[in-house]
Amino acid sequence: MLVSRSAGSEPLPATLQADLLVKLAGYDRNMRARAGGHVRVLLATNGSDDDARWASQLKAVLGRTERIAGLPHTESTIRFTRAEALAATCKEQQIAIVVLSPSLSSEGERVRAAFDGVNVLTVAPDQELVRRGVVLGFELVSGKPKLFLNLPQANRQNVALSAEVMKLMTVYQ
Amino acid sequence: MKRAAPLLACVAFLFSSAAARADETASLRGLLAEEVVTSASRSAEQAADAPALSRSISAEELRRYGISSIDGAIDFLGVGARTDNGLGASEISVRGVGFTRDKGNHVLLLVDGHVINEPLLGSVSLGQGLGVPLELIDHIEVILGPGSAMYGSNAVLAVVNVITKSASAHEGAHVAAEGSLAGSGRATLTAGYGFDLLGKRASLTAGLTHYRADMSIELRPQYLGTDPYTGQPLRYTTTGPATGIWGGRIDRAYRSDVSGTHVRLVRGGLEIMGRAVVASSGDPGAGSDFDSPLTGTLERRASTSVRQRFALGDVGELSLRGYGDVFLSRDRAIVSRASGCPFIRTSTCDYRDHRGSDRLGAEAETTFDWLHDGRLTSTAGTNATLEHVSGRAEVVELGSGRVRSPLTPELDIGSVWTIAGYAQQGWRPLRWLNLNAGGRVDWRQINDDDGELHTFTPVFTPRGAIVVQPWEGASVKAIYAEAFRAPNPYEADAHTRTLLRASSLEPERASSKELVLEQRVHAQRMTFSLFDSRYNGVISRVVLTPDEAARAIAAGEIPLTFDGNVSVHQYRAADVMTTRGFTAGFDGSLLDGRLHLGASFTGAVARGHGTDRIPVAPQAFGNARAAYELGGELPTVALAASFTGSRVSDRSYDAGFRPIPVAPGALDLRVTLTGSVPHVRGLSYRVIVAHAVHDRSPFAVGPLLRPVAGLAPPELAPVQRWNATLGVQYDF
Repeated sequence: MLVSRSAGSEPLPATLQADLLVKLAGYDRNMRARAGGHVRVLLATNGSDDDARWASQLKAVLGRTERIAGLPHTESTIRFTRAEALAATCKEQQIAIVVLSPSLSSEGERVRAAFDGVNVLTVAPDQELVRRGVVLGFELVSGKPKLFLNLPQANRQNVALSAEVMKLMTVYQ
Repeated sequence: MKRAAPLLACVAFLFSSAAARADETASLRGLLAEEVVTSASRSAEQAADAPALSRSISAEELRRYGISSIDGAIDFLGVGARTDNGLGASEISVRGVGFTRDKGNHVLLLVDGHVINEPLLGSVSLGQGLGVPLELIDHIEVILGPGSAMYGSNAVLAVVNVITKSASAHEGAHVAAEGSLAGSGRATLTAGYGFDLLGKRASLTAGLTHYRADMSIELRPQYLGTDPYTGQPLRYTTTGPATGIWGGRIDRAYRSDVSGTHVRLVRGGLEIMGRAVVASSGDPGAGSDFDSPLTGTLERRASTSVRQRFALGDVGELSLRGYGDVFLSRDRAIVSRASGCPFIRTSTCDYRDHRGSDRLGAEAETTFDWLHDGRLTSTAGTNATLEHVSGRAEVVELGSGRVRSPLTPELDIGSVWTIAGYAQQGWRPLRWLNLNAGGRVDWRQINDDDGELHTFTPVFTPRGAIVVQPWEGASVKAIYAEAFRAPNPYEADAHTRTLLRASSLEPERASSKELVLEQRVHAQRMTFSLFDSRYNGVISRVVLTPDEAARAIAAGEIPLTFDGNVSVHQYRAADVMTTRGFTAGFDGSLLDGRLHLGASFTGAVARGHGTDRIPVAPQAFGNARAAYELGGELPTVALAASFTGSRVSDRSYDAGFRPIPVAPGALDLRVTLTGSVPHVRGLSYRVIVAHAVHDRSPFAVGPLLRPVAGLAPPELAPVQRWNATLGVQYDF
């Protein structure tokens, strides 16, 4: 199965990306309050065919999942233009989860700045984006999925995970 | 009782809350333990869906269990495969079948998907000779069974793919050094950097490695008798008196020196890889002059590959790749016995074989995910390679360099064209059912130096798999796969003073039926497989009988006189091998991921060479391991064991020794401590103590290649029984 890949690493199959996303969203203690009865997931791409393919796959697999954090959900795709515009869209549309394509890894710092104080879970299948300012990430390392958390950014975006879950992640302080 | 009630309530509460916490993360741990393999289908997929039995060995496991090479990883951490060496390069056997002295050419070795097997012999190095810095290895995928449906020739026993780290997983610079009491050491400098390049994220990983071993070992002196040329005792020393004895203490010939570099740059869909290795090693078990530091092999290898991926709309991807490899090697054997160095006024001959090959290749591959959710996927590709090979032999007088036998071509083959097409279709009609079918056609043309063309019948190798997931975490696979190995140019055409040219060789064929059951319970993974494999037309290097050799000499096909101490060989395709058996494996972790456990066991009934025991390849073998993370500044303590049953030695059948030399069962133990050095940020250590309970490997050493009346059979190579290694690593 093909998915958009981060520089230098093999891609994580979309089914695993979706499973991890659903599982991690369930661990966020503020997800239900943030979602308000319906989890809206926004997939941000750079508009390339590569990203379109990644978004289509993730949408298709997430579409087969009944509930996220125990709530019904919908997925939509947006073309990334500027981090500030994406943050504004999230506030406006009460987006609970934003998944950024790994092709946006050079936008990491701008995403961090724009999402400061925004109540949303930002996720990326790319370790580099997490290091730069996305809250949660997963990447294929040593043939298995690994989780990454930007803890300061999680606090700024009202994402709360238990210590037990954080033990399974590489945490950037 | 009244006093106990509150205490019991507290205990119950503690247990229930612990259980609740465990439940909270257990399913996430399960997801994080999902293996993803890229080698079975040439694209990333969950191991449970892959159309083959696979094992992915992580960098963390390599470090934790004190592993420093691919062969060590296979023995201590693998499933269904085993390597052995007798003072030289490792040979691999899979599920009870191995091909002695094949230099690894029945296994396809890849580094980041790039084929490492060199064209002339198909050989690979599974030891330090691979030249990839250990610290740069992300994981090693071992795909058991025939793999030609996606990869073509050589993928007969298994496909081993060494995947290097991404820059994000290896950020910064890292220096590591290890040294052992046995006399070996290695040092690596590796680095990974991510950066923006022309508006896109790019990553660079690079590494240098140097390995050096200079070891000593005692070999039993073997008396080989008198030289038929002189009537005096045979001489196995370059200087000193001729005693007819080969053996004693090896101080100079048990050596190895490897330098390697590996670089990978990725930017968007572009990936550029380059690697180079220079490796020299002695051959202490060779039957030439004893403990000669000059006998051995010097190899130089360089490879490069450029790949560009393009999106095909939102359903597919096109990958174009161009690649090239250059291999140069020089084998030397120092021979002082008169019958082996029959030149007037020359006391010692320096036999030199110069071999070279290069490969240019181009590959195009498309992959489609038609429904965007992995239910209907297609892969199709084509690959074309042009290989040039050469082999020349000469004999010079040691010391003076005077040419005694000029450089003579060993083979007439000039170039080999291979064009292949492959395709695979995956279809998941139901959530619990996954169907996979694929195949590959390889077409080959050999171009002699004299311009003559030989075209071979195209070889088709299919593979089909049905994967059923009947309940949560379970996967049952029924797999049928075929493979082939084209006779390499050396086997097909080489002719030397001791090698009679093969008459005609066709590709070896393999087929395998397997039933695999995998069950995952959270982070625990159990596998059980049954296999039934058959190998037809196996090409072996056969020792000619004295009559056959005499006929070849009479016909002028062998230049040297057959003297009783020189064996004459020929590659022949006659053997059929079969193996049936089972493989069982377990991998998992307990106690919040602090205790790691793993084990595997393979039992096979293998037949070949007209007998029920195949040389070197064990029919019962496995490994077991456990590691515990003590936490904090305390180390991780790991114990790993690798074991085999007894097996017959490499010269058992073709040499005709009676009784057949048998190597005893083997047990290797390894205790490893790994951890960070307290109060020194970035500095970590690894201490390894290794012990072999057995004392012999299944490889004979010395000049005696066949029985001679009155002489004792050859000695089986001793193994290093104790060793201790200390390693440090600093991460900048």
